[in-house]
Amino acid sequence: MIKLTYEARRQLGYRFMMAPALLLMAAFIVFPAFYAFSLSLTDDALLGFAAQESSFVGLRNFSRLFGDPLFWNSLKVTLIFVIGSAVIGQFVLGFLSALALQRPVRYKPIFNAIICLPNAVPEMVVGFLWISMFASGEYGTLNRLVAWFGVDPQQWLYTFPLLSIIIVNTWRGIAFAMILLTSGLAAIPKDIYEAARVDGATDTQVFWRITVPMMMPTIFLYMFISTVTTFAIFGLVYTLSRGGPANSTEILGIYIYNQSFTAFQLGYGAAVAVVSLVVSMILGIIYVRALKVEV
Amino acid sequence: MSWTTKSLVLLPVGAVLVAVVGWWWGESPSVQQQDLPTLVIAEHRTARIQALQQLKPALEAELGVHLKIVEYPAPPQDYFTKLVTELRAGNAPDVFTIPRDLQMDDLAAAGYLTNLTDAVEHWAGYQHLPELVKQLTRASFDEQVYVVPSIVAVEQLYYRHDLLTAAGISTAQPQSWQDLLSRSRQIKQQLGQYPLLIPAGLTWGMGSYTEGFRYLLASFSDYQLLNVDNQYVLAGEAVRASFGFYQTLVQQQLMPVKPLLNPEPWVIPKYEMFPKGQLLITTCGSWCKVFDWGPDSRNPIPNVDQAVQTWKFPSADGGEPFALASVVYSWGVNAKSRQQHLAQQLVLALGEVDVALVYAEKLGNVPARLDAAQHPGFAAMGSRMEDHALLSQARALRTTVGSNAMMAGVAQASEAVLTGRSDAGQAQQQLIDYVTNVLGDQQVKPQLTVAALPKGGKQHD
Repeated sequence: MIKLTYEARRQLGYRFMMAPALLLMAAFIVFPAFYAFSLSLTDDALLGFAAQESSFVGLRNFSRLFGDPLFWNSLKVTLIFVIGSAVIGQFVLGFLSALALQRPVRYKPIFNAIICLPNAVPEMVVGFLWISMFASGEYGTLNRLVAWFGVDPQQWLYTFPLLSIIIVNTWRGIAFAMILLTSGLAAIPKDIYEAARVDGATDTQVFWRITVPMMMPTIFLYMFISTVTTFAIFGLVYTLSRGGPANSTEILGIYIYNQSFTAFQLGYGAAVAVVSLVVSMILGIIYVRALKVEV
Repeated sequence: MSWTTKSLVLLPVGAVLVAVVGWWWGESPSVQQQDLPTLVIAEHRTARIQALQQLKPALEAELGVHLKIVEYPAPPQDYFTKLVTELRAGNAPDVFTIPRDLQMDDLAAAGYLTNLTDAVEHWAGYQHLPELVKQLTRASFDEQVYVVPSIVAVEQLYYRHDLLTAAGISTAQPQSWQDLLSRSRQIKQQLGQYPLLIPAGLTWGMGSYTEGFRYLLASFSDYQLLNVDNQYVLAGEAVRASFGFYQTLVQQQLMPVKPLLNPEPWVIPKYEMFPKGQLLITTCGSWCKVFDWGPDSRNPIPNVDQAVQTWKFPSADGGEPFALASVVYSWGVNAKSRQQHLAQQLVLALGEVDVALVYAEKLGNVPARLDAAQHPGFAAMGSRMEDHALLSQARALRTTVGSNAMMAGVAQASEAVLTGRSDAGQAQQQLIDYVTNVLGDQQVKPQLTVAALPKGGKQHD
């Protein structure tokens, strides 16, 4: 019988405890990813003869994909959406909220609750809520608001489609940014600020020379998480615009859905999903490696 | 334990027991129903579900089954997606409807549908189906019957007779595309409103073909979408001229383009602009005077039978104007149903005239069978009796496996014309490329490519 050392037994114990999580990840993340890749090499479909018997087509789906202007459009729209809503919108407003709520504010819990509320609402409900906000005609909530300033009723989701979905996603994601960045701010030792004040640093200098550099790991951790999750958004945009008008809001999630469940081409849809996964991984690696953030 | 404590424990327990027994009593089928086999039917849209609920007791009594109606999402595309994913997963209902005849081939080729040829050919109702309907219930690749038709949409141009008459604009049948275009220009000039809507674009989905492009293609008397080898014929003049017609409508601002780019593109033009008289002519089907603008619809047009009248669609090549016919919501049996015989009996019962009339009353459209005209309830159909009379002369374009790709290609290419990204020739090439990419070279007729033709689409003066 093999006798294990105390350290080996401890390591084995750790592995044993991690096993359920690893098994679940293998079953629900790794296996589907490999399955999607294998599907992307076939002409599998939900309709037609290929639904009964699909064939191996090699990289044909990928070559079609790279020549498909709608795919490139979708990738471009996704990047704008991610940069606009996650990297700029949610981050800037989340950071401002976190900074503001560091100061002594009356009714702070109420402000916290107001900011966190959008994150508590399910994605589809947010979509329907904003459809009502953006509704065209004089009864749309936003149209009623702008009417006070003499502006004619607009078709918001038609006139400013991408901007509209960026605004909605920003609104929904501020809470997450604020919570994460607040924890980052709280971790900065107070004596550093006190020392800077003693040395006569102004508020601006304190912000740029102390707060921002000390927050960098948290900021990039946030950027990493929000970029990857925003890349995978589907329900919110699908509810709001279904990718239209004229593909102007067709982010990758919607493009994949349309190819797989509207055009019923599972193989091609899987190829787009694989490329989306690769793009997402590249962005993640850039965040993690180039900026040397430990996550 | 004191009585107070006991009551506090016993009361909730008692309440729960009563609720469970009540639930079981309410949910459990009656003794009679327990012995009956259950058939599950998928149905969608409130009006269709109401119609089926109305028919359910008689069908259950006739067939000796318990029918369980499962409500599916309402928009046809969402309904179809859910149905197809369930069919693929093997957990679809026993019986379901197929929104359009051109979706049948793809479902049959995928092995989802039971072959009903024997059952249908021995069915008394079969002899009463018009030849066109019989054709549309057979799959193009094996000529077998996979569905039982119940109702048919007769599709034409619907126009605001009241407003055109009031403006002194002719309401005579346009004989050619040129006639239709000059009438449209006159409407725009005199009334300042959009004259014509022919659906197009991505968000209208399959409707861009079925409610739009198909009318234009069928305007060419000799054109067939399939050749004898069941390949899609997309490279000819008919296809390019059809995109050219769209191009003319867009460039001359004869059609409202903006609403067609919205997520639900039919809402503004069909449900708002047409009832308000901001749009004067639209393609539509025999459902429109009931479902879209009827007295019980959400957008009623007062006195709709007189206010809205129909023109046949004019020809592009000097032929006779025509009406199109589509077999809509025909009944199919899940190939994996465990109760094949009963499910087949059910779909045949659903193909009876009585059933079709109930659906026709709730949703519009007309019964598929010609003998419906002798049914006492037929007179209640009002102006749709005229639509029914058109069935024997109506036109249809047969499709084959891959119709979904063809329709998606039309949606994409027509959107490119709407947004001005492509002219007619480029749109045609885009359609050919898309369909070839998806279905492979074998399913698209190899022919002179558009690049070899003069650049751009033919404009209509």
